[in-house]
Amino acid sequence: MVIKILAFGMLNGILPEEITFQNEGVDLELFRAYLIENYPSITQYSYSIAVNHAIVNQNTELKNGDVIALMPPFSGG
Amino acid sequence: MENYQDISNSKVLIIGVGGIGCPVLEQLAKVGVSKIGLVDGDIVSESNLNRQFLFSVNDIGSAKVDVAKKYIDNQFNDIELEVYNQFLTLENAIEIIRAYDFVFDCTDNFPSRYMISDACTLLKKPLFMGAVNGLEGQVFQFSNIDSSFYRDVFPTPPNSRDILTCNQSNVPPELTNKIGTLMVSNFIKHFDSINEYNLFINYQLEKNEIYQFDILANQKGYENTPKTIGQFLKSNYQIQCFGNTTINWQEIDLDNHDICILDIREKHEGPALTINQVLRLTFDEIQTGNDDFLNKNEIYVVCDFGNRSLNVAHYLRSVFPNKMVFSVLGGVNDAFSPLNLKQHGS
Repeated sequence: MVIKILAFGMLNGILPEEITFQNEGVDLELFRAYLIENYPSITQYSYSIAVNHAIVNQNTELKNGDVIALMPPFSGG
Repeated sequence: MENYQDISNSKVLIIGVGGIGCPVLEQLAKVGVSKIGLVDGDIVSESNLNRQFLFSVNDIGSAKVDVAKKYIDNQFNDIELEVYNQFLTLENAIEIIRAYDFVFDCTDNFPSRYMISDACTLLKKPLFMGAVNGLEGQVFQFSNIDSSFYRDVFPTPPNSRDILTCNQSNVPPELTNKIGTLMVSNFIKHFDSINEYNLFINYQLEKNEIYQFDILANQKGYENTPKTIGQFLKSNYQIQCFGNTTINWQEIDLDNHDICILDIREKHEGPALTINQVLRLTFDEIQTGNDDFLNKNEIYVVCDFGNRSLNVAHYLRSVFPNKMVFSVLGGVNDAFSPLNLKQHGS
C-alpha cells in the first residue's frame, strides 16, 4: 500500500512524498515508528499528524492512498 | 452580506501589531467591524517597515498601537479603536480579553500563543490564530468554544530550539498579508456557519497551495489546559515553552553565532570573559533601554556566581517573551566557564 506524505514547515525536505509498504494493515503507530527509524532527524521537531482531512490523536488503521500530514507549530508573526 | 449586522456589532481584540496584525487590523476595519481593541507594547523599528505596512520611517520609535490608531482614524470614521500600549501578560490577559467577543492572535512567540489559547478557552472566546515560518503560514479557527483550542492540536509547547530559533526576518510581506486575509475570511465564514467547528489551514507561498484540516478533541490537550482562572494565573508559559531559566556552561554552544553572552557584572568587576559573543551591560543599563542583545535569539546572562544573573534573566524573559533567555549556573567562576577552562589549558 502507498501512503502519501505532506510535510510542512521544517519537516519539508526531510521526508519523501510517499512511502510504499509491501503489506496491508499498516496503522498510524507503525507508520510513525517507520518514519522515526528511517528519518531520525524528524525527532528533533514537535509535530501533529493528520490523516486525510483531520488531525488525529489516536492510533488508526491506514489504507492504500491515505494522505498523512505532519505539521510542526509555527510561532512567527 | 446577510450577517453584516452581526459582524459590525462584534467586538474584536487583536493581539500583536506585527506582520500579521497589520493586515488583520486593516481588513477587519474594511469588513465593517466597528469595535476593535489593539494590544502591543512594542515600538516601531526599522526592521518592521518592509512588511508592517501601517508604519513608515517617521514612526520609528513610536508606540505601534498609537501609530496604528492614527492610521485607522484617518482611513475610517466609524471605528471605535481602543489601544493597549502594553504586552499581554498573565496579569492583564483575562481582564483585557473578557471585554471582547473574538480574539485574533497575531503574536510572534509560543509563550504568548499558549497563554492566549488558554485564556480564550477559559473565557469561551472564539479565537483566530495566524503564524508564519519561512515561506509557510498557519491559520487556526477555534469557533467551538467547548474545546481546548490550540492545545487540541499541540497539547504541549515545542521544546526544540530549532523551532524557536527559526529566522523570521526573511518572511516576505505577501505571506503575512495572505495569512491575515485567511484569518479574516474565516472570521466572516464563522458568521455564515450554523456549526461551530475548529479548523487548521496550512498555506505554502511557493506552491500557492492551501491544505485544510479538521481539529478534533484531544484528551491530552484538555488535561494540559488550566481549568480555572486561578490555575491560569499560576501558569508559567515561559517555562512551559523554554524550560527552566538556568542552564550549565556545558549546554551552551559557544560556536553558535546567534547567541549573546550577556555579562551583567559592574564594569570594575573582573576578570573579563574573552570569548566572542560577549556583551557587557549592567542591569541599570539594560533597564534604561540598552538592548544591543536583541539581535540574537538566545541570551545567556552571566555574573560572578549565577545569582544576580538569575534575576536579570527573569526580568528579560518577562520583557522579551520571544527571546530564549537563560541564567548561567555558577557564573564566570564556574569550573566549566570559558575563563576556568582557559586557565587549565584546555
